[in-house]
Amino acid sequence: MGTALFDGTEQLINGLMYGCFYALVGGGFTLLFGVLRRFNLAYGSTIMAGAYAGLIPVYLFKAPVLVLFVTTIVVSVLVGLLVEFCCFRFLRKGHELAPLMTTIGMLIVIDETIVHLTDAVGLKYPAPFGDESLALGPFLIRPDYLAILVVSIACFSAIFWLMHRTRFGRAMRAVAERPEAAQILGVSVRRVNVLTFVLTSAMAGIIGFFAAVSVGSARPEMAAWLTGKGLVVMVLGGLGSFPGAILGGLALGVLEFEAVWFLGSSYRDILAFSILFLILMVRPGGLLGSRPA
Amino acid sequence: MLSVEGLETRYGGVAAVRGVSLEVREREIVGVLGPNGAGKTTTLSSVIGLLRPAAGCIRFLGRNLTGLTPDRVVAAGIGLVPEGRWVLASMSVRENLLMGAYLRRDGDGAIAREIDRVCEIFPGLRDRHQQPAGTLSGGEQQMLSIARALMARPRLLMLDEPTWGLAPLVVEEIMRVIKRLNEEGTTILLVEQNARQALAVVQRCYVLAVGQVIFDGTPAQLEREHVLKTAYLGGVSSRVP
Repeated sequence: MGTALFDGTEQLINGLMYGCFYALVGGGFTLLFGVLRRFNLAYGSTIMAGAYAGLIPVYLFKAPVLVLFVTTIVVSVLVGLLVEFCCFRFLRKGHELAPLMTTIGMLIVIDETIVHLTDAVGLKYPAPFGDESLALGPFLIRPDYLAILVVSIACFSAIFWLMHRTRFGRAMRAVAERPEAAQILGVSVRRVNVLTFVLTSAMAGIIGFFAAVSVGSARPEMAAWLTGKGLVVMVLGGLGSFPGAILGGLALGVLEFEAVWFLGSSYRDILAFSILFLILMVRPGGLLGSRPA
Repeated sequence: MLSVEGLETRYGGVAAVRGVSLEVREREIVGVLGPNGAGKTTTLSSVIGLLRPAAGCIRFLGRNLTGLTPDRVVAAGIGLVPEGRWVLASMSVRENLLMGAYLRRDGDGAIAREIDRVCEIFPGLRDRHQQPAGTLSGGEQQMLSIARALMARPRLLMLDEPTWGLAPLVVEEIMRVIKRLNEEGTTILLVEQNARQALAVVQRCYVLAVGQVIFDGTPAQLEREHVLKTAYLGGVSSRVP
């Protein structure tokens, strides 16, 4: 096998694994957008808040990684509920654009709070999966990426099961498709909205954990980075389509890894956004989107 | 059973319903007629809780439902088959029916029996459980919409223009079903623009025009009052036999 082909394949594998991470981020944005038809720009900071909070029991009590993991999820859910309460609950019907402002406000509040509390210094994260590469045949893969792959497949399966096999999932899809129709069948839209926040924020906790683990630290610039990637993946996949978000995340992951390897890391974001523009030119609704946004 | 008193509902600043009062007694079929824009749909939307009334009172089985959210109203025993059907197009027929039973807590067995029951009423739905509702014909979607509302076993079923835009044979079937449901004990509030259709099945009716009740009485009384018909129903009067 030629070196370029070999390297290309290795980056493809890594890109797919890391693409699962992007798919989770985009999936969180997408689920919320699908149900509420509103952007939640505070999602990135919900993720970051969980990632930072997970370190508290580690620094205070030398707690094991499992405690860290659970703490990130719990705190992200609490922050998500705060976002719902402050940024969405009291806005009137028909003010579609207002949450853009309220959630940007929340993003800034959470970011600044974290910067104040930590002096904007990144906090070291444990490396629970070790730092030695694993051999997959001739290819070397990172163990934390493998963990991301496994956990995201579990997450996606759980979400598909929830959406298609449970009463709550049906209600979520009904609200996403036609809120008034769901209402006259007895669904409380407010309840579904709140539970959607709980679900996506629990995902945010998982994302935050892996975001910090893969970089080795919790950092204040995480929120902006995750918001950018999440929105790209959401639009790329087709606004509101969860399978689209998965596909979009995988595509973004592969493209970025190939770009970094062959062109250098400075090209990563340029390429990511160029691809977004290009795909939207060819498929204005995104990869799997059909509904005009 | 249902009493609406002095209902006033604004729709984008304009009063679409201005002081409507109506009464539906247990086991009745009551019609609400009137031209487009008379406030018929707004009245039903206010009862079910999709619109919040600016004034007036809605009582059902002795309970005050005014201003409650739709989930509470549906739980109280009112079902709505909305104008335009509102089937969940991306979901299967079966999932639509399951959504109709959303508030039922009496177990999967009872819900499965309910699905069998509504499919006995609408045999056309029986072999289509897995089909996406959006791929059904207009008449089938209307039947699904009614079947879905029945899944909750409502005491009062409100139907908004259930025959609009459907072929004559389908219209007949739907009117037959409405009569049958009523005979089996469901109270019916039927909103129709097509007066002839409705007058054939209802026991009493209200005529609405520009947000107010301009007539209430039996179909026979309505027919005797030619002035009202020509004045407010326009062309419809010529179609009343």
